[in-house]
Amino acid sequence: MKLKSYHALLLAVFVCITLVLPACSDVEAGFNEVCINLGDEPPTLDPQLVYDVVPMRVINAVFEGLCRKDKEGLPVPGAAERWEISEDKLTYTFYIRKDAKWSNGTPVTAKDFKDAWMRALDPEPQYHEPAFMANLFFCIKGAEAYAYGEGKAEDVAVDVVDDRTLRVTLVQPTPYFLDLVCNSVYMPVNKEFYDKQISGDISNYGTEAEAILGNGPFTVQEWNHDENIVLVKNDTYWNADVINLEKIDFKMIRDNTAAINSFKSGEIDMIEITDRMLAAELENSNCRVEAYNSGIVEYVTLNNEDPVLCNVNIRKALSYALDRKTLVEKILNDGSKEAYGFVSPIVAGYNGKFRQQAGDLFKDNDIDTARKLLEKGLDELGISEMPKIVFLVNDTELSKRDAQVLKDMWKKSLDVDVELQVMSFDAMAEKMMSKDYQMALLTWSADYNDPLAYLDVFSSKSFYNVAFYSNNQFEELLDRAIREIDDKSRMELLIKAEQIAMDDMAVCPLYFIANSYAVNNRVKGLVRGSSAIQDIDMYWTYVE
Amino acid sequence: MLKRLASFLITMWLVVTLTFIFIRCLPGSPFNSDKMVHPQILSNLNTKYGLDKPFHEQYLRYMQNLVKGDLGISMIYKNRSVSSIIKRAFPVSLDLGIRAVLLAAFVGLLLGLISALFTNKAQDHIISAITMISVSLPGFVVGTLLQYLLCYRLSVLIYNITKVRFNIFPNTGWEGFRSTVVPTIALAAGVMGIVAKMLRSSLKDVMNQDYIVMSRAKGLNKREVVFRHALKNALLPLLSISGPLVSSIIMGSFVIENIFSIPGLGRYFVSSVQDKDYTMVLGLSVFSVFIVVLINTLTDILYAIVDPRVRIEPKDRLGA
Repeated sequence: MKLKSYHALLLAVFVCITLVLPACSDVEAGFNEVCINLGDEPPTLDPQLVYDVVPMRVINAVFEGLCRKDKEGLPVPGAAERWEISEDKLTYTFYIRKDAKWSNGTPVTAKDFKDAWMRALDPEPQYHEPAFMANLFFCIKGAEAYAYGEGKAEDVAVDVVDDRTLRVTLVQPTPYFLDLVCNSVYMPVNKEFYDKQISGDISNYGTEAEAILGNGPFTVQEWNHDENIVLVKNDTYWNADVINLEKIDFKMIRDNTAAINSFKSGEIDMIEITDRMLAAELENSNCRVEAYNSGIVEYVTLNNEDPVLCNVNIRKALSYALDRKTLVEKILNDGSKEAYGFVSPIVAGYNGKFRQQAGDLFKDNDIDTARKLLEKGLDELGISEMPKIVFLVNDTELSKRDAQVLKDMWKKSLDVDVELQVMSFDAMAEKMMSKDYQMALLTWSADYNDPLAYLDVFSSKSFYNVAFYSNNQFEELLDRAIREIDDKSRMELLIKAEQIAMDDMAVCPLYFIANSYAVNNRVKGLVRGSSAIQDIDMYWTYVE
Repeated sequence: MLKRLASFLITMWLVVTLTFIFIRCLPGSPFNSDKMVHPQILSNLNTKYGLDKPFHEQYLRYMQNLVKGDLGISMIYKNRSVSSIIKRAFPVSLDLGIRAVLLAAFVGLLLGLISALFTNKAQDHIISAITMISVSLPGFVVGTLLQYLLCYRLSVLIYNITKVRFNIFPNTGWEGFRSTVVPTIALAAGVMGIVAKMLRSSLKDVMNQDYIVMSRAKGLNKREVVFRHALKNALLPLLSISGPLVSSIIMGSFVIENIFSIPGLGRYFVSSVQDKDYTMVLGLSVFSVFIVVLINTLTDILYAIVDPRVRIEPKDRLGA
């Protein structure tokens, strides 16, 4: 009997050792390897089909457009070693570098770019769905008509002059065109490889690791769906010498608490932070907590055709009554900045940042002025009392939090009753499009680094103008800016246009959203938020 | 058997039809759930997926494809077929589910048995308290708590002692035996409580039956009576709830899979509805019906084996 107990004990110890021993290795990623939380499974890694930031994090590392972003978010040579711009700024000629190669060793050609762009514009593609971001090509002559099914593919002004020369003709001067070609939708496709991925009615391109062929600094080694994507350094990349990282492991941890536990245990090197308490806690440990401006502006869109909100003084009163500083510093406390204009501070102006040049366009927390404006507005409308305003809010925690704060501020400062209606984004969008709303809490981020990407929201020609704002003077300035060749004059016109929209309080900007993240101290050279479309860049990242 | 097949087909048709109607009643579309899409591009997308066709036409087309075994292409996960997503994710949920069911059955039965053998004694009270807690605590609390204690705190403790950073149980992922331990315990916890409580009450009922009292009166000891006569009959009520219980576990738990980042099917039951991924929602409904019917049939067969009074097809037997 004693012998049996002894054997059982030995067995138990053996089982424990077997379990524990394999675990006795350093959990931190190895030398020149980083492990980062991607947060979710990318719907695809096909550059022409993606539209949000999660897949773009991977695509920016695996593919390279004609240009790529530097640390400051400005376009620098990528697959193209140089380019020429015609005097009328309508023709761009890109010269693709000799050593630009796909990860299978075949050269990247001008045709690869044309193939990709035509794929994105195809209104009825056979093997994939139409591209969400096709509108980013509309500055190219003939592109809009083709995407709308009204024009022909051969009329799209993208010409392959030879294997290494691509000529593009634009509809109008587009000073941000070099910025556009950094976008994932502009990245090339290897047609021969793509065709091999077709099976039946669909193409598997971008759905599995083995169905992706890139030309960027990294290649996809593994894609374990819903679990992780492993990238390894691409030795055929033209600038491989400057790439330090050997491996990037993108985990897909959706649960915030699990991501924090994994980060604290050293399993992952970087996490996004939404909780300031956590930031304070992490600042004392073996990591650094940093924030960057995401390029996203949160604002209240006001239906300019609503019987009450059509009055400019009432719109101004609602905006002036808010205390943005309190909202940003006391409620958010995450590095976000109050917005006294609509264009994000990260957007380039003429020789500097646009926001600095345009300045603050209105003052807030001015309750006396707000009350006077409200009275004036009500007089103009011929009503004695401000009716209750319905405020649509997306069903996310952050939106609900902000909306509640705004509601209290309006009640306290102006005695205006606001009813919150919480719903899904698409339900909100449906109401806004049909003008069946008064106010809604929205965010806006741009697909390219230019003030036009923001101000276009106020154009009566824009589908995104859900405020239904209309001002001839604004339209004229915007039209002149679009046609203007001189960069300085163009920027001055855009500054004036933003001033007019804000004088009319077309919408009520709240704050420019900052993203916070914590990164392990061993990881250096990580660039975040260089632009709205490239929020993580590991081109210069290394491990110490 | 034919009757069973007919009822399966009717259930399947009803579920698919109702899901098809309900999911289309939700506002919005799969393409603008988090972003406003340009109307022309939206129209191109609708044409591609046939959403521009009249409702009845879309329904008939879906049913035709379903009969051929084609569940369609996901509208969110570009160019990935619904069946390929299920084929990849279900084995993970099944693996986790089987581990959890086995653990829950083993521990639950053991606790239930001890509890029934020591009714109203200290052991019974302690086990009752444990089972009560495990049944009442929601999955996200158990999962988060176990992850915090067994994955994170344990790694900190080991680091403080050895100054080497290693985790016995990783916080997230599904790679190797170690990563399965904590999620299995978390998923099994609730079921274990149910099993223990049911076995305790059914065993207590059986122990009061005449034939047990008779056996005891004949001088058989309690342990022998329980194991030889009572336990088999006490397991029957458990068997009847095991069908729905097992099918719900093996189909994937959204909460546990989300907490431990397990690449199973569970999250698709929630995300596909949120994203209005029409084809994925319908595909999951079809798959759920199939699994539930399959497990229920297996349970019925098992029931018939354990309890000779039950026959799968009584009419045929009577006829014979």
